[in-house]
Amino acid sequence: MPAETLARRPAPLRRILHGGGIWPAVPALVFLFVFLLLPMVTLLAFGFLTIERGRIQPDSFTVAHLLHALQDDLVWRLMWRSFWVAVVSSVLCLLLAYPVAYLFAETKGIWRTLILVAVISPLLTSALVRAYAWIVILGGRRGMLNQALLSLGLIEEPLRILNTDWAVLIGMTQIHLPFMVLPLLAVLAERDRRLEEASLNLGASRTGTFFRVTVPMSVPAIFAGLALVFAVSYTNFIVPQLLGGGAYSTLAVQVYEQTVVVLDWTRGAVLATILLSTCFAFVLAIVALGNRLARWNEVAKP
Amino acid sequence: MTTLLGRRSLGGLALAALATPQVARAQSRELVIVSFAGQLQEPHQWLARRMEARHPGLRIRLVPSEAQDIVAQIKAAQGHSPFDAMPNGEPPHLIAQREGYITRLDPAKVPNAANVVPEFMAKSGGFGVPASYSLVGIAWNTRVVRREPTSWEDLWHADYRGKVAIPRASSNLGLAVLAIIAKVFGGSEDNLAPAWERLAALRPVVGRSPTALLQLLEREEIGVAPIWNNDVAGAAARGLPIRFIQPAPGPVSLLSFMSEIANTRHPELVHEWMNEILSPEYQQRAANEPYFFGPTVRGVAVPDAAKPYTPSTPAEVARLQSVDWSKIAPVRGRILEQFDRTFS
Repeated sequence: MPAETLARRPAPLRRILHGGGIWPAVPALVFLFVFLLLPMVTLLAFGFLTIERGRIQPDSFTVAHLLHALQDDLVWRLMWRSFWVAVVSSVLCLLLAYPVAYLFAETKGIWRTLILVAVISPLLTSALVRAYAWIVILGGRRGMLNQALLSLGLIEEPLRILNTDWAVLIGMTQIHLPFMVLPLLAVLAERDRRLEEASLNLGASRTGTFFRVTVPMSVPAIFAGLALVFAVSYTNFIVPQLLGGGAYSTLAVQVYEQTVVVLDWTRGAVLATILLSTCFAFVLAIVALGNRLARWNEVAKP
Repeated sequence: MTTLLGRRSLGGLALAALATPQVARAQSRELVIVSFAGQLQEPHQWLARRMEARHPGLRIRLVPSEAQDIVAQIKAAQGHSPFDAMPNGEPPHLIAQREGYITRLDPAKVPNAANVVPEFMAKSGGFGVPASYSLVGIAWNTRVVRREPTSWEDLWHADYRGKVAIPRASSNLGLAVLAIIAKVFGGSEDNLAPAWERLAALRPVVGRSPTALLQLLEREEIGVAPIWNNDVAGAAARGLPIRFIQPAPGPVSLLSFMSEIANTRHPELVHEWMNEILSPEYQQRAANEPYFFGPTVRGVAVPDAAKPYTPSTPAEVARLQSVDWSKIAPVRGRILEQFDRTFS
């Protein structure tokens, strides 16, 4: 289109035709609205309505279902368990991921590629398969771990790990580890090493340099990883179901059971609302804390 | 003219090409039937092949799934089910009736329904046909525990301390176990308190599903668990040291109904499927090794191989315990909550 023709058009239309504004994002926004936002809002709305035999009852809007759930000690107990498991697995992921990411940043060539493949390859298998693998490793007398410990004479009775908090933590940590490693890889590999050299030249030890220079530089990645791992752990229902056993329930497990097993969509939606809103609040808090701790890292704009 | 003819020919070809899949779909009908998973699906597979041979162009697709998942899917689809028929245990059968997802039986269209044991037919509530029954008894791993359990009370025997698992109350198995324990210890379907009290004292391992319970037994994490007879039969057939007993005062029997799902596209084929399910040939096959589904039709003998798993004498039949599911099914949500309050 000739430039003078475009120039005659009103400004908003000109911006669209030039590919500016939000125009390029419209297909993605429409997709997200139709297939993510709308179903989610519909589901959450069920928590404020009365549903009988799959039909929404007229004039049944109420917050009573939500208030009832918030007064239920079982809901609080399950929320606390979801929170606790998510916090511990996030911290364990950080402790395990940092050395891997650091090693990646310090290596070159084929070793770097191998580490990257090792980090990403678990993501190519489903979490379900990985959880089942842990059942094979941890399960009972015939589990690989107990077989090894028994044959070495280190234990006389098999350890009971499966169907406990430990099994859930082990599974969550292993399955979500790549979500922590990947942000750390990106930041540690691209960090400004001149700052570390300056620290060493000024007389700081290697350990001191690591904790006072390297770790603070990776704070944004640490908190990005913590937010990611926390969110996927807090809302995960496959791992608690498979590794926690039948007595182990979390908010996410309850949402599934109330919706699919009990067919109580109202309670399922109320619990989903609580799960989603608390997860959102916790993630916001993690991000806010991360921003606060990384403030020094920001370059003042002229 | 040539051009016009050519265009018409091309248009005709295009229309024919577009219409072909629809014609093919019309000629090849598909019946979608919910079925069991794994080996227990084999009797359905046999029946599907038989019906497909009888109706050229018919394809029967068996979908292994839990009845509760299917009911949830139908509910989500507002009754527009992609399935034509499904087997249901007694609790989901009651829920499917109440929610209107299954169709009332017209006995004239399923002539073999006249041969069903009347007591079983009475439990259908006028919906579907009783296809089989299974027992909930106790399974024990002979490598983990030495003493064979004999009664429901034995779950609390000192020899089994720390080696007992129970199913989560989200499954039919879990509900049946809860009900029988309540009854054994002086409660009832209306009063489950004795069961909660006893189970809390037992401090059992909890299996999320019947399959999970069986895996716990296989991996020797536990030695004793209430479980379905069919599941134990499958494990024993694979050479695992797992045995089934029918505990005193008796195992719990649960019927499985085959029902026509509301708004099916092929009601006449579904009626034929249901009729075939009640045929002596199907019933005999399903009752035999390694499935051991209890026959619901009069005149079908329990095979010798099935005798450890299915009652075959009047005395054994008399010992069977039943549960009034009309009292349990409507409060399933509250039972599951109580389960989590007790164990979670």
